[in-house]
This record gives sequence, C-alpha cells and structure tokens, in this order.
Amino acid sequence: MKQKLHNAEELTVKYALNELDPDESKLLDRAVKEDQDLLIEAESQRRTWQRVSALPLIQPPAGLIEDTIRLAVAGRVPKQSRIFSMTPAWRWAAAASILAVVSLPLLNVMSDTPVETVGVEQTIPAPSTDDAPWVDRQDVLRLQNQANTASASKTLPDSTTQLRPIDPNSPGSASRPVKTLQQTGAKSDPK
Amino acid sequence: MIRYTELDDHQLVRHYRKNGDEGAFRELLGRHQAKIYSYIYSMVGNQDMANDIFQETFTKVITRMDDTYDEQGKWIAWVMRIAHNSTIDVLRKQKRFVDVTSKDEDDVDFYERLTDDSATGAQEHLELDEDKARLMRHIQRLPAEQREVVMLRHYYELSFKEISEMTNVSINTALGRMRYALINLRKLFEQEELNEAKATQR
Repeated sequence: MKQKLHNAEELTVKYALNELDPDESKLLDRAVKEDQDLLIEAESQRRTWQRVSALPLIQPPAGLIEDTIRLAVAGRVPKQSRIFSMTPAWRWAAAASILAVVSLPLLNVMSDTPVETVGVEQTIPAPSTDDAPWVDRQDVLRLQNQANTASASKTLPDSTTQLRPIDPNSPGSASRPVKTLQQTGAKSDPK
Repeated sequence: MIRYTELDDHQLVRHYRKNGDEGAFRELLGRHQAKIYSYIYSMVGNQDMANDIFQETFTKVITRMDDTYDEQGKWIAWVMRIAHNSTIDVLRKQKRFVDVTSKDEDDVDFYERLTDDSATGAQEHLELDEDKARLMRHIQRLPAEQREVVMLRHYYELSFKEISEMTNVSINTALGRMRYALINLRKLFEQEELNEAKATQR
C-alpha cells in the first residue's frame, strides 16, 4: 500500500530548484518510486524552472545610472566639513574659547588703559534691541552691545569695585611695576 | 590610486561612507545594478515605473547608509530588501498585490487569479528577443505574490528561508507559492504551444 509523503509537494519544488538536502533527497527518491504521479510533477516543475532560468538580466538605462551616481555624490558630504557633526563636548569647548576671546573688548571698556585688540572682530553687528548675549552665524557668542547699554552702565561700576590693586609686596609682583589696575586675561599697555 | 575592482563590497561601502567616494559607489552600483533593476522590472513590467523605483531605492540607500545599514550584514542583501519593499509599496498602491498570507492557499484557485494582460503594463521598451519577451509576459501574468517568489529566487538567488524572511511568510508558504507559480507557468507555456499549433494549422 502506498504511503503518501506528507510534505511531498514541498519536496518536489525543492527538487525542481535543486535545494534538497541529502535526507530530503532520499525521502523523495523513495516516494517517487511508489508514486509515478509525484515523479511526473517533480520533473514537470524542474523543466518549467529551467525555462524561467533563461530569463536574462536587464540592464538599467545608462542615464538612470548617471543620475543615481550624481544623487549619491550630492547626498554625501565629507564628514570633516559638517560643522554640526561635532560632538557636544567639542562644541562646548569651542564655545568656551570663543567666549574668552570676545570678552576682551568688554573688559577693555572697564579698564582705564586702552587694550590692544588685534585679531578680535569688532564690527559684526549685534541685534540692536536686545541686551542679551547672542550667537552669530558661526556659533560665536557675542557680548559687545552690553557695554553700551543702560544696564551695562549700572553693572560696570559694580564690577570695578570688586577689583583690587595688586599688592607690590606679593611674590611675583616685583618684576612688574604697577601702573594700572590689572585684570586676569587683559593685556597691559606696553607703553 | 585606488583600484576599486580589487575591493570587495564591504571595503567599497567603507570608502563611500567615509569620504563620499564616487568611484567606490560607481563600482558598487556597477556590480549589482542589473540584478536590482531586473527584479524591479520583472515585478512591475513597466520601464518608467522600474526607473522610478530604482531611483527611489538608491535614494533610500544613500540617505539611510549611516543610520540603518549594519556593516555586519551584506550590503547587497540590505539594498535588495529596500528594492523589494519599494516595489511592493508601489504594487500595493496600484492594488496589484494581493496579500493572501492569512488565507489557506490550497483553497485558492491560483489559475483563476492570474492577472490579465492589460494589468501587466507596457512591454515595448524591453529589448529582449521574442522568446524572452514572451517568457517575461508569462511571468507578468502571475499573481504578484507568486511572481515575487519566482523573481527573488531567480534574480537574487535567495534560498527559501531567505525568501520567507524577506516576504514575511513561512518557508512552507514560500514553497507553496513557488509550486503554484510553476504550475501556472506550465499551463501558460502549454497554452502558448497550443495557440502556436493552431496558428500553423491555419
């Protein structure tokens, strides 16, 4: 009596596409010996698949490939030039450095001695209506306007009262005669 | 001077990701473009539509390369999946893709569900010889879920396990779809031979 293989249909497909493992191959061999219809089906599927396999590769149009490559090149900007790809730590470090540099002109105003500010940009216009610090297009923190406003006129004297003259007897001060008030980070007048 | 042809896909992808290297991308595309395009074309049967899907696929590839591509996997397998999903999306929008995964497929008369010629799109752009063009027309007449399995196997050379993963069905369902596809194609070939025989008798 014929015993029908429960997954015979799957096995015939795998046979047609040459994907039987050795155990499945043995099972199918045994099954087709007992069931001629199964053999016919398996062979028929194999021949049909052979015809499908004749389907050739189709090349895309050349213009489409060039468009795609242009898209790929335009879509990729080298990472070094991406300012916003900097890590937060880098951005904070950069902001701190910039803050130190741009605060020089502010300190200049507070000092009696004119301070040389070579290399520090002075002419970038700041928002005229707002006293608050602002950030320009290059992520530079700007404070200049504060020195010219009413609030600054109040805060500046408060700040200068906290400055103390350098003690001429303190270590390290002997080599530099005290002519003006000195602030950390401010340059003394070379004259 | 980089010899792109000597680099494997993985190295080319690295070059492209790191520097936006056009040469590396060109080489990658050159290696796989026909396989990807053939699959898309065979699924939609229309050159303009295939061009659009091909372009959309690589737009996604370029924009997602840094975010979703895992270098542990094969790049081309990742691209094939994007191409497949883009193609199925288009077919779904056209309502030419009937998902039958929830039904018992043995109860469905697949021959009845063969698509008609009018739904298969324009074929006139394809420069194939007559036999190949006829074969492509037969493929186009298969229901999309059967065509999908046949083409994933033929052009992408995927195993049934990989096909089942890509199409979100079981291996047995994928095997069943292939079986019905082969049965349907055999009927179409027989019909064609019958028509030819009739034509020669006249």
